[in-house]
Amino acid sequence: MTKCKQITTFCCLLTLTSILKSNALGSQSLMRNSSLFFLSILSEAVLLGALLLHASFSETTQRGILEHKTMLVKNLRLTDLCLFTEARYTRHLSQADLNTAFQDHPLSLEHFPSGSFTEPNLHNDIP
Amino acid sequence: MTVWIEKQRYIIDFTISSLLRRKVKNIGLLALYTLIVFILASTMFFTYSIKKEAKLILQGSPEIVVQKIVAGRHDLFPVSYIDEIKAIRGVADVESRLWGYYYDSLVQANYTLLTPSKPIDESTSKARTTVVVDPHNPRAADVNKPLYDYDGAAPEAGTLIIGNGVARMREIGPGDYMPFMAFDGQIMNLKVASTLASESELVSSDLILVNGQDFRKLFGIDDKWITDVIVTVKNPSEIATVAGKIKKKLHDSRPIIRDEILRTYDSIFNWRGGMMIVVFSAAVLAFVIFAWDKASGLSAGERREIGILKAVGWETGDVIQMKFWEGAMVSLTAYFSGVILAYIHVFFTGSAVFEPALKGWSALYPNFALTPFVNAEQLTTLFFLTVVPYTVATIVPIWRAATIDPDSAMRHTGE
Repeated sequence: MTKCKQITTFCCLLTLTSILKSNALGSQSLMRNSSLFFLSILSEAVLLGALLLHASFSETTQRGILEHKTMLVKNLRLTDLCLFTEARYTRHLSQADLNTAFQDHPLSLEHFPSGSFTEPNLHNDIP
Repeated sequence: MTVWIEKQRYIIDFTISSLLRRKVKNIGLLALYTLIVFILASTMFFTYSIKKEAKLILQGSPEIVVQKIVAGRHDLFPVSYIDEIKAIRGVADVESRLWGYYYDSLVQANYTLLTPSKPIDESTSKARTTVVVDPHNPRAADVNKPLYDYDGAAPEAGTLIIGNGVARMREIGPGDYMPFMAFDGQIMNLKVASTLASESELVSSDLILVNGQDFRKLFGIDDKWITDVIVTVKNPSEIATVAGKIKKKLHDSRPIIRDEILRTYDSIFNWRGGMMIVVFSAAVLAFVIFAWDKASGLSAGERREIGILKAVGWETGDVIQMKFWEGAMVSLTAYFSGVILAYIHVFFTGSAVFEPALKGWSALYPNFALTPFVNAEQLTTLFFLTVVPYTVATIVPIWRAATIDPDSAMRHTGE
């Protein structure tokens, strides 16, 4: 954490000194390449920081919506997310029987694209 | 310190000028590098957020679902089994579920038809979000109104409640009629009573909530049968034991516990999955090519440049520093740009690039905005996967080139 701070301070220092220097040289002189580089990296870092702040605020603001979704799942006794509606075993992944993926004939390959995002739940905790 | 900083700045100035001399090559390299980071970061953000959201939402899923299996396939569940399950010690309640699929040939989409049970909680949404309402604004939101109008009660006979995906696809809303072809070929026209909120599309996009009588009439299911049952257990630590007892008592049943449901969504978009391994192997291959290009040696032009620099007084250390900055500049710019673009892509554009692959062959796909769950671990992993290997791969071959005699380096002319 301290190292991160040191690096950030170093980058800020470099950028600031370069900007000040280029200003001191007069308005006619162009900004140095190194100043431009540090300025761009700094602005990108600031933008990324702002996006991370957005993520943090969104988590707080969307908590209410998440709770409502959980309540809907509870009230309707739902078991799955509605991600892939193309086949019954991709719509309700947790409810699919374990042999569905290759059910059509013994050598058939999985033919729904969403099958490549998922894998069957083969573990069973039930004694 | 100031001298050192100034020296580094001059080296950076020179490095940028050197990079700009081979503008096309380096801009192409930067674009490709950014693209790789973008794909990796997008995949990371998307999978982590969807897994975390699934984990949070599905905490409300049933403790145990019991299906009946006949010849390896699901079958309708006999109502008579309910009493047998109720007799098992530790079982608090057994509720029946009526649900199934309906293929709409008009839009070639599959819907999930479900008969709601009684709501678990009378007040559907205890959770409240603090909203400051402007008293002078007539259009201000009513803070006491829940986000979802639907309270979990079953719709009246002859009516239905549709998910937002169905409403969008069929372009229908409350008051419209929706025709269904029953099992015996008869057409059933059901009136849309309301639609489920668009915020809940991740779980309800293709849902159609119907009355139990209409459901049985549509699919020709007798009162003696239901789709499956859900079991509530008195002591949550006994869920697996109760599920085991159900399996022992009803040999043709398949109990699915909540942990299994949660684990299914924890393994979704796993790196071992087909599409994910293609994405990751493409990224890894691209990195191998980068590293190979850098580690296999320098071009004659670069060697000559190093020779001239050494001839005019640069030391080996200075040359290495120059190449370090070259690698750091390219990789840092690519890293930041790639991560920022990935964040915008996943959380602002709804993963537009992944959408065609995610949609697959389904006609009905939910429009959902993921909650941005991003942590430092993801960003650090990405940093060590991308920036560090590239910077190291840039420095290593330079060490060899920077130690050779400037005269022999300059003699190798031509690129």
